[in-house]
Amino acid sequence: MSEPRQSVAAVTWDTQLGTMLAVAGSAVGFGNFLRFPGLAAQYGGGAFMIAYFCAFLLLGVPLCWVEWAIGRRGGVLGGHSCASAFMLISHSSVWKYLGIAGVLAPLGIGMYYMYLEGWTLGYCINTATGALSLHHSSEFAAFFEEFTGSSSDGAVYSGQSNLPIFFFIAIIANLYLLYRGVTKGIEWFCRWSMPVLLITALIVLVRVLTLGTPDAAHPNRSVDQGLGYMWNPSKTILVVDGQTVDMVPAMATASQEEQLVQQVQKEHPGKMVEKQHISLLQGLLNPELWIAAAGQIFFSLSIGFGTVLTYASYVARRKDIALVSVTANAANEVVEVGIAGMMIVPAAVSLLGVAAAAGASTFGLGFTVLPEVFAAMPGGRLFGTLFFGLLFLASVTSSISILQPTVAFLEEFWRLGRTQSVVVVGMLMLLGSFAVSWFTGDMMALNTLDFWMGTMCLYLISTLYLSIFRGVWGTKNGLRELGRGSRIPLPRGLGFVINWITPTILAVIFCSWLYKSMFVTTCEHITHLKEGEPGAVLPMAWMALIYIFMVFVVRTSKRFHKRKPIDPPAAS
Amino acid sequence: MTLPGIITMLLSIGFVWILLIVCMRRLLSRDEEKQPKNRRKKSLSE
Repeated sequence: MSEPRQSVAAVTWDTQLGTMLAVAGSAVGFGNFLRFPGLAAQYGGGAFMIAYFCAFLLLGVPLCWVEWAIGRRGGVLGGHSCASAFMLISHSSVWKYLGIAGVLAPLGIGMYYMYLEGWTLGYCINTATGALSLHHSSEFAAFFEEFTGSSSDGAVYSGQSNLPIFFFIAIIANLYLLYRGVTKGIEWFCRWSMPVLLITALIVLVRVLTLGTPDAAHPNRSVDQGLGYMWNPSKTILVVDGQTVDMVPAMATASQEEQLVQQVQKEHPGKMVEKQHISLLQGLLNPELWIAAAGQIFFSLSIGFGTVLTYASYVARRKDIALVSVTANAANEVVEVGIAGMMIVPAAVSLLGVAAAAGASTFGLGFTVLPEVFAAMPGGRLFGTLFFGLLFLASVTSSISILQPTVAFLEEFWRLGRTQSVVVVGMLMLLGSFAVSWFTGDMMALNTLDFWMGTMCLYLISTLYLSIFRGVWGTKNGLRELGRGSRIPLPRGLGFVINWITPTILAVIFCSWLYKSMFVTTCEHITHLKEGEPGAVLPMAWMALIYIFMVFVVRTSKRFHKRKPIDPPAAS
Repeated sequence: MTLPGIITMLLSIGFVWILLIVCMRRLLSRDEEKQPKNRRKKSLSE
């Protein structure tokens, strides 16, 4: 085996392509294949896509550039984690402690990511072996409940589910790849897994797009209808009890429309069928749609995960980061919009109908609806195995990078070797992951960590990035760093966008969410903590202990004390 | 699927694909710049 130990200072990426593939690999994961199709189905239509692309251009791309610039600057000064990079750039110890959030959040996300990886690997193997029978669609929900142990706490370890085996394999695979180091492990892994992932996804996509109208008894369920549901800026939907049950085809005549309404009425006897026309403007005026679109960009591009910052810190000073960042973002969007969205939403609509696609939860769409999709497809077992295998590969590339900031943090603050750092990270993560896999009743632990670490912390860290970039380092210094070695000219007005537009949008989104969570609907995650639910309290208590441990690591470290400023002050 | 739907789809997917292709071309051209030197060295040593 090749040399696994690499000192932090000596490590840099082998090639620009390798860097881009690793960053794209870190971004492509559950966000693309589960979250995006789920949201696209939920908010279906051109309005969501317009909001999504606005968020991509005004939040995603600038914030990624900010993270890359901070990361590379931190790396040049000798810091590879959020905590050290903040300290070295700001020359202030306060930022060191604030930066710990950028190390804590990815670790917390990694805890439930491992568990979800166990799901995908388990679904892949169970589909291949036939343990998940694709002949009895009524059993899919029961299989999901038994396999994930969602009925009660500790159900996964009752012996009925084989999930613990896959969960264990996922953890070992991740720690091994981390142990092999940055250039030897992640870059090598992404070099072969990303192309395999794309080829497999394209095969499934081609199959989905050639489905036509799979069920003659339901002529309204077709790929064309699915594409229309996802992309038409305005549409007419049929609603029963506030739930979308069908969509009127775009070219339907008045008699066809009437026929469809009668058919829906027959399926829902005694209930009122409402016909609603949703225009593009109506869609764009919905604040929830903007929050969902922006949140998806954050999650999908791994903004605030701290992983991009750590990756950027390994890029040499004279090498390009601006182009690598945009390329990785573009690759992520191609997989998300061009492949995952086009694959899952049209397939769900054409095989199950609009109601099933719109009504499924994010994870429900992936793990309970998709087996039904594969069951209704010729060669479903093969496609099912391929899809879940592909999802496992995508999630492993993501989780490797999610754990990398914590490894880098221990390497630099305590001067631990790679092996020791991976062992400590493994121990910290294992306890949290075990809690997630134990408290599976209503997926309490998973949802709690996802909310506090995977949502709240991302906004907090992004705000910290903008604050340090704009207020402490100086936008001009930051843009100079971003432009150093760049193969593309930076857009004119980027400074204005970073200074004013991005923070404003970020503030509006955060305030809207805060207002809604605090005053409109009671936040269930706060309620769970107040009520002392063990599934919510224990993982969060563990995260609090890890934070204290990280503060202890920083305080006992002899590195990263105050130093003289290196950058000239920003020109006024 | 309506015409505005087709336009939205083509613009969105086209935009991300074109962005990726343009960026990849630039990125690969940079990586390839190093290769001819290596090949030259190899041919000289041969």
